[in-house]
Amino acid sequence: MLESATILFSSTLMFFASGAIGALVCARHHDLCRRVTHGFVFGGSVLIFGLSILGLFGGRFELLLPGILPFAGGLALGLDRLSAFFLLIIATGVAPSALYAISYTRHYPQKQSSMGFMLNIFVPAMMLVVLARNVLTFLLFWEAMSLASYFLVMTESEHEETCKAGWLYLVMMHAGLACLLIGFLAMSQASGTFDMSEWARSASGIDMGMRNLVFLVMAAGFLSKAGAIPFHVWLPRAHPAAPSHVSAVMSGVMIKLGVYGLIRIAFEWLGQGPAWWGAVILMVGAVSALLGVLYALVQHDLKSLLAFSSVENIGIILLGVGAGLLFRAYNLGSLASLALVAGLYHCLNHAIFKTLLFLGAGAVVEETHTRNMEEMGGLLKRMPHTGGYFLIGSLAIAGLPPFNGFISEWLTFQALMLSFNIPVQFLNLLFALSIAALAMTAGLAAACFVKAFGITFLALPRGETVDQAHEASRTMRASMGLLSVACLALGVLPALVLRPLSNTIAEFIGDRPELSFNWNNISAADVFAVIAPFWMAMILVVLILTVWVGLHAFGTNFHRRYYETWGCGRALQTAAFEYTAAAFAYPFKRVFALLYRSIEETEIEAHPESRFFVKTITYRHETRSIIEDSVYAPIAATVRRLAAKARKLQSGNVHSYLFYILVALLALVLFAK
Amino acid sequence: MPFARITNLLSFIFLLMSFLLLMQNSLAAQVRMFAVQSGVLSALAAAVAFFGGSKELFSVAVVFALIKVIVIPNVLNRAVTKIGIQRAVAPYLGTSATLGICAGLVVVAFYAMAPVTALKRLPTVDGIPLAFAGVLIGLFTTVNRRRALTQILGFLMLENSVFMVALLATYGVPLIVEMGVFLDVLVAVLILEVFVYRIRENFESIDVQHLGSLRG
Repeated sequence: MLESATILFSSTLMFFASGAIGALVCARHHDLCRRVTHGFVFGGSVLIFGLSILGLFGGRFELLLPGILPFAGGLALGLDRLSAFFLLIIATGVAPSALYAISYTRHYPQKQSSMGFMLNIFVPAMMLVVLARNVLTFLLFWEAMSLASYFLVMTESEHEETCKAGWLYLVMMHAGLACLLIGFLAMSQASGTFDMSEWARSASGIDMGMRNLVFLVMAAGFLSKAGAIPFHVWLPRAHPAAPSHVSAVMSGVMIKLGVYGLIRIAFEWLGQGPAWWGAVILMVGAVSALLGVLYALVQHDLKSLLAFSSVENIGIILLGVGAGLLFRAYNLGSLASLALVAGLYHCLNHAIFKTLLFLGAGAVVEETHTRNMEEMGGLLKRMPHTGGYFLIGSLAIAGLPPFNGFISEWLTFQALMLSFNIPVQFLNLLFALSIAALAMTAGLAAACFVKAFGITFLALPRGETVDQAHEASRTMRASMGLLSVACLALGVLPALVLRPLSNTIAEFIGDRPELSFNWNNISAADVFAVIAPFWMAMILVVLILTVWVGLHAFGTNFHRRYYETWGCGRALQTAAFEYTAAAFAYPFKRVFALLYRSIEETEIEAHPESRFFVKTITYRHETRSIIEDSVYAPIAATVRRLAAKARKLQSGNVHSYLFYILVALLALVLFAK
Repeated sequence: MPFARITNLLSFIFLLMSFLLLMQNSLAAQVRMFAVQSGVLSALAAAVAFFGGSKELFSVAVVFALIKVIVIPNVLNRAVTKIGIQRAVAPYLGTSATLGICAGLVVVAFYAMAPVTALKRLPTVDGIPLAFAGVLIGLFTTVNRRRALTQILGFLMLENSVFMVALLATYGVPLIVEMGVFLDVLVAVLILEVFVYRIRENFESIDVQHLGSLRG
């Protein structure tokens, strides 16, 4: 077992190395280049999938390479079940994206080599982050992952918007990295070793204040990668700016590694922590879920809508993780495992449906040349396959059965409801609020994706570009089809994932989750709550068939009438009559006006003869983010002010630079004395 | 101990030349002072070679004299005549203030090197603070002078003093290293000369303050 894992791992690395070299060798042959590089990414991620399956069934390997970087213990890699589960997430998100990219990247003619090269760095860096076993390895590949994804975001660097997004991304990632560095170094100092797997053992001996500090800074670092509120600002800018297959990998996979780090630090490396750790994560999760979906709802840019929806889903995942931490703080091990199972199941599900949605959005954006939903519409007739897959993704992300989102959200609900086992009233209240937040999030998410699908694919075309839209290429459809099948499979047969996942969590926490399941039903905490996803799906199929057959058998004449969509009996029907994305979001903007801090402007240009003959109406309704205005704007202003002061040092005068050297030398000499 | 006395005497003369250099107003005189200082240093190297019994160091002393007493002063003189400024050394601080600060730097050097001199393991050890004072004065000269050419002189003084520290503390570094440093300095001076000439051609001045306008 050990041998096969090592061989599989090395061949995975060989695949990515060949892909990167291939990108450089065939840089001039665009078509060959995109096939070779993305082919290798696809192959490599299939091998990662194999490695993760091996790991989930108990395969392990340890690889110590102290010679490669001979300080702080060198490179140390290892595979356990938790790492294997995250490898599964990486493989599930990356493999379809790579398949999709083979034909999708033909629209970036001059950039195929650099994109392919960076993707071949980005993906193995993510894999190695998950496998890292000491501080040096973790930070090295964490940074490689951030930098490679930065270059991928910057693909269309000729647009100013992209550069701004990339810059913000880079700043946020390095602020996060600084937090992680502080945490990792403080923890290495306190425990006396750079080997993170040793930390769990020595953690209980470390001063509580120190552990609290390490938890706070490292949680901030990991949450900035995960894109949880209030660290989410980079996400809705970087995701739309990147090419769609990159957005899919970043949103579907990379942000989950923030969750991975958080789980490692909170459950393993720092040992048993106080209850407030869990409460903090739970609150961050509830706020991220609710605000994320509220901001998603008012986006008119299809890809920023998906990006904000990632913030929401990270929030749902964090609800599971936070609940798990709280349960563990009160020694309810099996409930903690249940909550963590819910969170990790949602991680995997989100990797599947968010990748699917970004790939679908990419196909749409590529055909219509706009990301603005107000200029789309009517695409279902022109791109029926893409539309169908996007619909499946929307249903799954809205948490509707028989798709996978339903199962993980159901599990999260159960974990939160089981909180009555915790004997602290304040925490029970917190859980109740989280349950309310999650319920509201689920409802709003459904509204959000009704908007995303309805405005984009239904009704009449709103822009001219829609008429030229064609169905996506075969490989792109295949990749979306694979993900749609996965959405359905994990919704109908959750035992496929629950079995290895509960073993993983049992190994990780030490208690089996309070969850029993077989191929057709799941019951949480004995018979606290039971569902039968398989029968639910069957009943759904039977119901639909019954209605269809019934209508045919007893219905009146069933002749088809061709008529305009949402015609309402009007004499003239144009796209201007249609419901717009802005109109859809308007009620929410009114209800949650406090959060959106919207600016509303209406300009009416009337005919000079009479003000009742209106020529044009321009309506603007922009929303602003509370967090950006109240947290980031003051920070940015302070940094700018300090930078202006520091700039005086940089006088441009050679003599003053020489003077700095002299002063530094004197200070050093006197200090050393 | 004639060895200790001779090295101490030469070290004092070396530092004295630094001060004399600072007091000169014309560039040509400064270049002369530099040549004398280098000659003193070459004599010091020869003395260390004689008493220390190192044949290699003799050749170092000879090459040093060749480069620093003959070649570099000639190159600098050529630059001076080319540019045509005999006076106007233009320091930021006046001569008396400069001398005052340099005296302070000597005190700092003695203070900083006190632990080294306390060891008394080498006969040459008393010269080390003087050499270190030379380093500080050389660096200060580059700060204090406005003209690119006089900054080069400061740099050369600094380099001389670094060589002297090595000489006194370890009886010279290996020949190959020494040769490398000589060549570096020689090439640096030649390049700087050309640059100074170019700067003057392009900016009508060799006042490095004007470079500040290149700042972004």
